[in-house]
Amino acid sequence: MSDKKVNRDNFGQLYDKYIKKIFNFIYYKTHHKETAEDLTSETFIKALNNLGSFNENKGSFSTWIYQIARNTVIDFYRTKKNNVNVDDIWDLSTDEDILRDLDTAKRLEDVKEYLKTLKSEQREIVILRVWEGMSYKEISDAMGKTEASCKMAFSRTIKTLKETMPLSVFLSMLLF
Amino acid sequence: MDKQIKQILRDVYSIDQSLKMHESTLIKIIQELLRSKPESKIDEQFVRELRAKVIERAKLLSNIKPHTNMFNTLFNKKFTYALVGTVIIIGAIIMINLPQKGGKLAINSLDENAFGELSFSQEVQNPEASGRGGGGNGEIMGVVSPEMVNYNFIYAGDDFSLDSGQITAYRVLKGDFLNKELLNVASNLDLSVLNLNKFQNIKIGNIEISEDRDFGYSVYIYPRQNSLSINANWEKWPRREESDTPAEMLADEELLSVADKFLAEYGINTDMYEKGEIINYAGGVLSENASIVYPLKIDDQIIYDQAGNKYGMNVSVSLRHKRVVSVYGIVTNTIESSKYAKETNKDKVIAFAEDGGLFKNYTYPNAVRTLDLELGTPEVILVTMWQRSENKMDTAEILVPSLVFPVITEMSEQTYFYRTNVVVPLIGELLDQYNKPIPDVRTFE
Repeated sequence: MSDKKVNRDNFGQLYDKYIKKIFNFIYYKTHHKETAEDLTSETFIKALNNLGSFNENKGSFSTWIYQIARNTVIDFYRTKKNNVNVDDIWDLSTDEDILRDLDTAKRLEDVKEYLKTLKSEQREIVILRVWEGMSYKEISDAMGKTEASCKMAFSRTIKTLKETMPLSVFLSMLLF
Repeated sequence: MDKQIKQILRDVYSIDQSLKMHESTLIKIIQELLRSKPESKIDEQFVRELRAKVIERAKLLSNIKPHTNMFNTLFNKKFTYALVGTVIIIGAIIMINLPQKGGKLAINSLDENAFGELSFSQEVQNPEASGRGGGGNGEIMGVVSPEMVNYNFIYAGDDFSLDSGQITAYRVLKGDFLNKELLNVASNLDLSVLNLNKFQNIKIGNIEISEDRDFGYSVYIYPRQNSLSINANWEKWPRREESDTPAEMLADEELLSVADKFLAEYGINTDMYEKGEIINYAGGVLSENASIVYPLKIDDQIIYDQAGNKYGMNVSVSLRHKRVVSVYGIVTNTIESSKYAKETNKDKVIAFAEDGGLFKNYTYPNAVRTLDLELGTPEVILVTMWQRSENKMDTAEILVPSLVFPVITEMSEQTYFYRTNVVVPLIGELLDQYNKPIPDVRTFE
């Protein structure tokens, strides 16, 4: 189904197409299943309530719903830590007031220090390209950017990680 | 080599061929990222339930005639009047009942040591958790230096003394006045189709009130957290295009004027805050917005975060549109105060500061060099800290009198170190608690 036909009648199909993607996107930004479920629900209800304001000439449905999800996560953390302008949990990774799934926290232990030094947009590209395995076409749709600029940003991110991730992280991999 | 890694490498090389000579490192980085991928397990029952909810709502919305309020169709005009009344009342509640109205926070004075033994998050003490040589909020970023450099703080300020006696700490109460006030409104709401009075022990969830106009705003009310914030209603703002040139920089006075006018226009009381200060203004391609903080004052003392940055209401201004895009940190709380024994051992305080203060220094075992950083004469400030409740389920915000030591050594641009302050709590029992052995951070996650 083409996303260009966006209306309430086929919102169920749009839901089926995006539910897992949006949940994963939010989960990678929150690291907490229940929070991700709440914010995913909020994202789809907001999208549905505001469907009339979606303009296909201004961008794809994918760009639009990812933007709603992104803003929903930002709003959530602003209320959690209302003096800090934060995009996701990475900016709050030293904050013990925030819930995280133990399994995810353990998996990220070795790399979290390095990922949190990236700008939120760079982290988002890592999330979408490496963790979600999305193509640049899909990423450009989700981020509302051109494919070329997404490729460029990802390349720069990898270069940054090459310069900042110390050998000890790679050695820990060998022991894993 | 994994197919996905091969493809990622091809894409990276297509942009920067010079990276090819580091292929083995890049493979390790990508493998490490893949290994670290969180297990995102979506619950199929959640997917089904949300789908049913979404479909039901979509049908409901589709049945509403264009240009009519959905509640007209769902209920009747009576409800619409009630709803409009509610929104007006909600607005009135926010205007009238915020504790800061009148210019001062309500501060309830309690007995000595009323907050119990002060014991703050161990995680912020842990250098692994707070970032190597950094961590925490604001300017102290967990930035990793490309080369391993150790930092050594040395006190180089004037001599000072610490008098004996007591100092006042403050506790910020979350309270539930927003919830209570909204409940009063909701419980009197006659929906015709049901009687809300019959529902028991009801709580109000999050509320969003949006302006349906160009450059409109949304007010988000979170009764359970007793907080509210204002954000641009992005549906009504121009979308940023890839072809847009970077926004022009604005003079500081103009930025502050935009923020001040907005706060005045929307009736946000600033009596309990200091004048706005620009805290983040990169501009150009780096940022479309500038951040302004209006530092909070309690008993005429300015509040700081643990990194020594001023803490209060934050206003973000769009450089492109010369308009405010968000306001958060609007105080909706009441405060309690209690006296605690002051730390009087100056040597202990200086030793704590030279050890990095609240954020201990991380020391690389194989550092290529060590930089000495001088700390200047400290000032007394109030610092916001978080204390876990006994059941470890809740946290309370405590404002602790502390000494802030400025880092007076100038950094070269090549130095990946961003700390500008070191903070030391002035309550004796806190210093002792911080000097206890640090438990494994994983036990707190």
